[in-house]
Amino acid sequence: MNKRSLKFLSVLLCGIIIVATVFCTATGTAFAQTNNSVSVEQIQEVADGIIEWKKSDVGSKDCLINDVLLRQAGSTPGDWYPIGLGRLGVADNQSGYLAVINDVVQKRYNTSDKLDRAKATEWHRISLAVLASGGNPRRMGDNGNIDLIADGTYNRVDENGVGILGRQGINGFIWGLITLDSMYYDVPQGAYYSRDDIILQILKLQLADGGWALTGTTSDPDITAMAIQSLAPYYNSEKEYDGKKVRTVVDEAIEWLSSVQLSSGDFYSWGMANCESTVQVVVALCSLGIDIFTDTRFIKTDGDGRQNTLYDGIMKYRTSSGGFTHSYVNDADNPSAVAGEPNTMASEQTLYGLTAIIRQQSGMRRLYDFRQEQSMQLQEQIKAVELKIQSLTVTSSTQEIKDVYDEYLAIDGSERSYVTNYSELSDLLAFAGIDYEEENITYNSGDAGLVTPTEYFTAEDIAAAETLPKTLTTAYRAEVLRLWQKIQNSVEFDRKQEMTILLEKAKNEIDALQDEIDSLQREIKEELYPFENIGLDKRKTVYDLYNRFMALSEYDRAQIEQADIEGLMRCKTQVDNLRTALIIGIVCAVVVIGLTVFVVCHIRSMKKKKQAKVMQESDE
Amino acid sequence: MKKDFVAVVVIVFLIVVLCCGTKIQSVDDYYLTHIDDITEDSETVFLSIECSTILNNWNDLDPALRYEKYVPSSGFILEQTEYVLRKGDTVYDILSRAVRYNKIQMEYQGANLSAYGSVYIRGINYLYEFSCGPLSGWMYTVNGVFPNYGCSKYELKDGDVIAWVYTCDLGRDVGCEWLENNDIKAQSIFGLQGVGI
Repeated sequence: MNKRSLKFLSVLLCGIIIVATVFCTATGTAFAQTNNSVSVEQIQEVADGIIEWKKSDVGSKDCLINDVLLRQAGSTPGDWYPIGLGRLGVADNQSGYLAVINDVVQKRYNTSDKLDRAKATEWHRISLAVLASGGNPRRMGDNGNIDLIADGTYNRVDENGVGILGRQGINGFIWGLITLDSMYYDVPQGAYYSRDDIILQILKLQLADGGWALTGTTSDPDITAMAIQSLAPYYNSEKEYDGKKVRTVVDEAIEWLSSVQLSSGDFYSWGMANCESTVQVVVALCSLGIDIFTDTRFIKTDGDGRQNTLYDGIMKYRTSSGGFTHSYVNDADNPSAVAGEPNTMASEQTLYGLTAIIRQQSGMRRLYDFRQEQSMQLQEQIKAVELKIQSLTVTSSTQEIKDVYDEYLAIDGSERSYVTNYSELSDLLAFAGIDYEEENITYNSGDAGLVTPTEYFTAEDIAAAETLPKTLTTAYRAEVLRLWQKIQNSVEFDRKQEMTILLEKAKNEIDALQDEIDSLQREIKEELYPFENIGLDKRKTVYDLYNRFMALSEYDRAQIEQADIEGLMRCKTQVDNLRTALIIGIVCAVVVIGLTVFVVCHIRSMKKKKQAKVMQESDE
Repeated sequence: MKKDFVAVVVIVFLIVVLCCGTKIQSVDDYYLTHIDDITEDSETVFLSIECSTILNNWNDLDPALRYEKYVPSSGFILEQTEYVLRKGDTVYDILSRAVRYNKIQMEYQGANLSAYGSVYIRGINYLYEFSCGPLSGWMYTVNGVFPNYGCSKYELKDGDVIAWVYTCDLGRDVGCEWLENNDIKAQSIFGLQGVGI
């Protein structure tokens, strides 16, 4: 063979290889696309649809976090939407949320039960929402001395110092752990609960079938998924709790979840296939770095031979309005709850469920890991270790395994949970007889990276403050609180003092209005019942309440419960009628007395006249 | 003589008016002040509020609530009482009136705050969800059946019997059998289901 033909052959070979490679890559891509045909952009569009639906639900054309949603700050929907928005990276009225939730927390802390007597999850949900909105849950309240993390997790105790994190059941522990790991918060010496205490409580409650439930012996997908979410940061830990690693427990739970997934891709819980249970499973799997589009454990074939992923299982519940519905099961007993109508809980959960998928697909942190995003360098380091683990086999030498393990250990302890295939390496380490190194995870106070940014009270803000009406209503509460909070953190400017006074006055006015609304409702209930006892002696009380009610603006009057307004109006009518009756009675009595006097006098004078007549006659 | 006679008639008439009461009301006023009076024509429903399960789970009860005024020894916060049924009244409307008439404390989460667009009753007479263990809270039955939707969505009809019952075991201790097959039909779907954190 001459040089030329050799060259030709090599070119030909190269050509074949290139073509083959391209072909293989192309088919490979095509194959991947059938399984992974949903792009991040498409998921983003669905998430945007939820936000648009919720905007129309709260009557907003601008921000989702408007005064209607902010009235609910500190409750389930009022906090979960901000969590979804924040984690999705949507710029909304986050500063408004932070200002209002700060006020809500301070007011609730002024009561003896603080956020709640029994539910630790009130602290957890609010902490997560504050973090998602860019705030610091450790520095809440007017003076920044309310620490929601300590109070809601490791120091959650009652007035006798007894731990009550689990007073509401397993949810208290699960969400306590999620909250504690939201910033990898440090648990100080002397705290009531250690991290391990909480983990142990959750592990202890695992059921025989592998999952968790609020009660009973059959697992429930929602609680099982939430437990996995809380344990995800410990999946790569080699620490044993009562002889069992977290990984073993989580794997059992995953297996159980896979076994109960419906052929349509969704999950069944509390009597019906539904959206929220499916979302919780998605969040759980994403937190473990499992790709829900490709993991065969969570792709089910239905009767028509269609392959359904969890994503299909969620999309089943999307309605034409963009919002999501809880279930399609129509209940014969329940004519007013139409299945298939969007509702706020299914939608809020789907919003953060989709966010979890987007975050995972884009290489971002877990939904509930609020630490600063990983650097590119760190992401590459983790990716490299994952590839090396992938390349190891049982035939790899001990040294090869050891080398990969060293590279794994070179990753910072608090980042190792992001290595998605460490469990394979762990098996090989055991196989090769290599000892595990003890993990040293560094926790922190959570203050790093959460420095309150310098705020500038802009000309726009000044205009907003100046255009506040002279007579305020509670409709302006959110706006006033936002401006007030902003000016407190603002750098100096010419009119800062003047503006501060103006806003402080406005804030006090609105606080007073809210107090008035609350006390009116309370007093109506105390003073105006039972209705049978409402007599004229109550007239002053009734009128006092009525005048106070009428002194409120129309908007504020509408904040009072209809039943209380009815009670007030009824009592006012009653005392008015009684008074009319009294006046009529008095008039009648006066007339009676007058007439009686008249008649008596008349009769007397008649008698006298008669007598005089008789006497006159006898005289004659 | 004639004048006297007229005067006496007027006096008698006015005395009769005074004796019979002088409540002169417009139709609207009469309707408003008598709206909840039970008459022969009224449609009515019955409502009771019971917490006797707590008596059997005393040790699980929040110590701050272990008093007769919160948990009456009879087990009843409100014995079965008859209420006028107004058009379109839901279970929530009747409860809301009953607690006012009897001055019983009650706290709820409004329709737009709760999971399924219905009012969710958090506490009655200071007894709240989780006051007596992690599976405790308020549920209701209508004619002995546990509906699976919120109390502000349940429209009542004449003669319905509503019972608000406090459960310490997610319904099982108050005869809610459907829970055996993991099928919830409670107002508590929000609070006790767990997803409502």
